[in-house]
This record gives sequence, C-alpha cells and structure tokens, in this order.
Amino acid sequence: MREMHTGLIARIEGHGNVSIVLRGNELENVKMQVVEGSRFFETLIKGRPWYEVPTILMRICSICTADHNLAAIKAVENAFEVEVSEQTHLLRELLMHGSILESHFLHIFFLSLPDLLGFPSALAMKKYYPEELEKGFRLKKLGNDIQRVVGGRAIHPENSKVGGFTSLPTENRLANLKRRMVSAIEDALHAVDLILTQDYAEIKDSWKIYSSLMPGRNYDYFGDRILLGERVYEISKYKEVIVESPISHSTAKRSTTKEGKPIMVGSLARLNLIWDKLPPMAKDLYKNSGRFPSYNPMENILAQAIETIASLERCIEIIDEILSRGIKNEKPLEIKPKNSKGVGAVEAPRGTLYHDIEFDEGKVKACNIITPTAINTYHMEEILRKEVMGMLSEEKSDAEIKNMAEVIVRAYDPCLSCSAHVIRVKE
Amino acid sequence: MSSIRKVRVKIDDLEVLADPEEKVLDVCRRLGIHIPTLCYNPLLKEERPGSCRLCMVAIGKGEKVYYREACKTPVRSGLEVYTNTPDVHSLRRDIVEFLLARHRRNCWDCPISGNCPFVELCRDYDVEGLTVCAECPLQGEECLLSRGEICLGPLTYFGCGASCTKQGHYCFGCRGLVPHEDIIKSAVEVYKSKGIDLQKVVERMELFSYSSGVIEKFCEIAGVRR
Repeated sequence: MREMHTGLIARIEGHGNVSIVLRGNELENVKMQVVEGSRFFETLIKGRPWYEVPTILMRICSICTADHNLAAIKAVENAFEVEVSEQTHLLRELLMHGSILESHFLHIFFLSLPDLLGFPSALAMKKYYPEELEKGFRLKKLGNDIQRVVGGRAIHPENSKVGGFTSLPTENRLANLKRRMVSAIEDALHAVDLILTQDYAEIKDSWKIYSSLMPGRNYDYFGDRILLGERVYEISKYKEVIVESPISHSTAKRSTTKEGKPIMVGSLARLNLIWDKLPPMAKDLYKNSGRFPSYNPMENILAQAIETIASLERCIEIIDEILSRGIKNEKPLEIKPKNSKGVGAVEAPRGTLYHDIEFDEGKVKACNIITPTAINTYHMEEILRKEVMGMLSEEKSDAEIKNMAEVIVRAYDPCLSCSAHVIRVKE
Repeated sequence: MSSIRKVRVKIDDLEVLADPEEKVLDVCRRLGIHIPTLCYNPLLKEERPGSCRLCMVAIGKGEKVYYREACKTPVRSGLEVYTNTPDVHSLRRDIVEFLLARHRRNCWDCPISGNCPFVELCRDYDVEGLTVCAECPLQGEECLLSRGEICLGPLTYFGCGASCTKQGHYCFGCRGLVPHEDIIKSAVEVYKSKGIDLQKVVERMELFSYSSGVIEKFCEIAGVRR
C-alpha cells in the first residue's frame, strides 16, 4: 500500500491537501484533508449579546467578510422579525456584489488563470500577460472599494448592522463607483474571452446535484428559499437539504444530501439553477458561450467570470436606483430581542452560507454555521476519486496525477479557513 | 565666552552665569542637563522652529509658574528655570502623545529603522500608546458616549484612524486595550462623567480582551465586579 500526497495545495485560501491511497495499482481511497485548526466560532459566540453576533461572525473569513456579516444579520433579523427598509436592502445588495466581485476576481486572475494558461503562479504570468494582471488588480480593488464605500471598511464592514447602516455613503462616492464600474465591464469581458479561449479538462459530474438560494426578482445572492435541484425548501429547513457528519481525516465536516449524495454549490451551481434571473449582458454570455448548463466543475471559473459581469451590471442598476430616489438619512431600526431562533442564508462567492442562531433573552444560546466550502468538500473528494481512477487506468505518472488533483481542487475555489465548528469531546 | 556682561540665572536651583544672547536650552546643554528635543538642530543657530515643543521647561515656582520652550527663551537676569519637575514631565508626556497622534506609524517601512528617537521618547515618558479618542473626530455632543452608546474608544489602542466611530459605530476594542494605568483612570472618569454603566463597559471589553489583564485593572480602578 502506498500513499500519494499533494502536500499543501498552493493558490487556495487556507490549508488543505489531497492524499491518494493506493493498494498496488488499485485505488483504495482519496481523501481531501482540511488541516486548518478549528476556530470554534460556534462556541465563541455563546452568551454574547445579539448586537455583537455579526461583528464576531464576520471575522470567520477575510475574503467573504460581507457575506458572513450579512448572513449573521439576516439570522438575527429573522429571529427578531425585523423588516428593513428598501434602501437598506439595496445597499446590502450592493455590499454583497462588492464582496462577490472582489472574491471572484481574486480567484479568476490570481488563483485559477495561471492553471488555465499553464503557469506555476500569477507572478510568472507577468512577462506574458502584464495587461491581464494589471486589470486583475484594478478589478479586485473595485470590489474592495465598493465594500469600503458601503460598509465603511475594505474588509469587515463595521457599518452594516442589524436593522440598517450606521452611516450612509454619499451620492458623490456612489457616482464615482458607477463610473469605475462602467469601465470595469470591458475589462471583465476581456477576462471572459480569455477564459473561453482556453481548453480545460473534461470532467463529468455524474450526480448533478446543485443547490443555491432562490433569488427574488434579480440575481442578487439573497433569498428565503433553498433550491436543491428541482426541489424547493424554506431556509429554516436547511437541515433537510444538507446533512452533516464528522469525518476522521479532515477538520471539515462532510455534507451530503439526505440520500448521502454529494452536493455542489457555488457559481456553477447558481448559473445552472437560476440563470434565467441574470441581467441581459450576462444572460447573453451564458447563452452564447455554448457551455451551459455545464456539469464540469472545471467550468466554475467561467461561471465566476459571467457572474462578475452580472454583478457589475446589477451594481450599476442599484446605484442608479439609489441616486434617483435620493439617499434618505435612515438610522438602524430599534430592535426588540426575543427568545427565538433564526436562520440566515446568503449566496457567498463560493456557495450557500447558512447561519443558524438561537437566542435566549437577547444572548446567543446555540449556533450552527455551514460554510459553502464545507458543502463542496465531499463533491470535490468524489470527483477526485473518479478522475484518479481514470488516470490510473491510463497509467499516468504520479506527478501528473498530483498536478491534476491540485487543479481540480483549485477550480472549486475552496476557502478552507472557514472552520467554524464545534468539536464535542466524549467523556 | 564673549566679553559682554554676563547674567546670573538659576537652573534647577543651580546658579550659573550665562551669556545674554544664549537661550535656556544652550545653557542647559552646557551644564549637561538633559532636555529632550526633536526639531532642534545645532547647525541651525538662528533658526529654531520651536515646533516640537518637547523642550518645555518651568519658569518660576509656585503660583507664578509658567512654561516655555527652552530653545526659544532667552536668558535674563534672575530667571529661575526648572527642567524636571513632575508638572514638566507630565506636560512633556502630553506633548509626546500629541506628536504620536499625528505621527506616521508605519514603522515597518520607516527609513529610521531601529534607532528611532521617537520610540525612545515614548519609553522615557511612559507613553504606551494612545486611545482611539485621539483620532476620533467626534467631539462634544457628537461623541458616541454623550449619545449613550457604550464606546470603548477611551480604552482602545489607536492607529485604526477611528474607522468605526467615524461611521457612527461604537468602538468595540478590536485593536486591544491599553494597559496603562493613567489611561484606564482617565477612561473611568470619562465613563462616569457621561453617566455610563461601568458594568456594561466591562461586558463589552470581554469581546476582544477577555484575558489581557486590563479588565481586572479596570474593575479595580472603577470599583466594579467582573
């Protein structure tokens, strides 16, 4: 029996590796190991007052801060039955798009594009693709700046609270952002073209189980219902969609459907399920690319690129709407704490993020967080198992297999440091 | 020394003869009395900006005391100078704090690496750091504490540019709490004068500084139980 190790995979967020166990020439097991230590956020917030919950939970991640913030806020608001104003909702959507843009551009330009173009890292691309890199930096900065204008800081948006925003962006700054977005669309379209011209590995996902939130009128990454393939669930019943179980080789729990099948969430899942909600330009791209609906996880990067166009289009619409209404000077709503339980979910860049928080006299009694990467890990493992098996039968070398494994893992854009779970020690 | 008539001045209870063209700082330097300076440069004889104000000394004693920059004050007959009274020390400490509030703090890319006079000053005058209030633009009625919000600004290390309080959000102490006793004392006074429940302040401090030891100090000074 021998074991192949990829070592820590580079160009992903967090620490993880793939270990391939072979018996002779037969594949015994493929393990996607998340070696990040648990950070116990679920226990950390026990006993803390409700208003601190978004503040603490958004520190789970520094890439999807706004998403964790908004998911926590939605959980608290659902628990206390708070209805926010239309303006707050629009600003939150804008904040969300900022986070999506920042994360997607980071992944497209700096983490995955080197794989597609055949470079070891983004820095090695500098000589041959200097313009693309520059565009990447500029676009990612735009995502950060949206969060800075709306949320008050480039990361950890302290401005966005339960019930509203403590301070509002000025019309001037929003108009400025809009100008930059208009020119950013061209750059982002260039990225889509670049990705479309590349060939990537043909990998078949035979389960085809995708999940995302069901949006309202727009492609806005929010929603009160969960889509699992054709089926629709209320978000409070998320435990019927995702069943979690701890596994020995990884600090991330394994998430499956009730039937024990792997689920995929993220850009590809969203596009496959809710593409008809896309804004016009992104919808055209979706249709004309000829690749969708796609069951190849490697195409996640193309899906991300299309989503960035959708986000930019939608951002411009939102800013126009806010400016045409004029910014009303609203303060966060007064909150009356209750003894209740709330589930908040948003579509983070990597997929559906659930925060489930139970309150007792305004303090947190229990909390459960399911992060998108944790949902994707099992899917990743199963795809790897199939691919490695195929490569072994073709008698590929170890180095090739390891490289392939890394490329597949990276395509999912995993964010492994979202270790939020509780470990229960048996006495 | 020139041949002009000397004047008799008293520095730290020590009578000395000085040239009337000299400034207090020059006399002190000649006597080997240490007075901190940042903007003083011996090469610029006539042009003394007197802008760092670190060379403050006490002139006179008791009721009639006043404070002047030693580098700009000419000596005159009968001048009584005290360079190191407790009041002078605390005044200089305030000045170090003021300078620090406006100083760039990107030490990692500063050309003066490892030999920084400013760091020495902070050490000499026991300045452990400033609080967010030093950077916060909200004053008077605008102050979040006046509005009844429990803000940790008076206790938290500065350097963030008061990014939260500027947005109208109370400071929750993410940069850590300053362990200096004076700062804790003045914070307790501020909270008391604004009528804020100290018990709730302690609750809020626990978020980022649960085991830093500052909460114990705060409880002791404020007279509350954790």
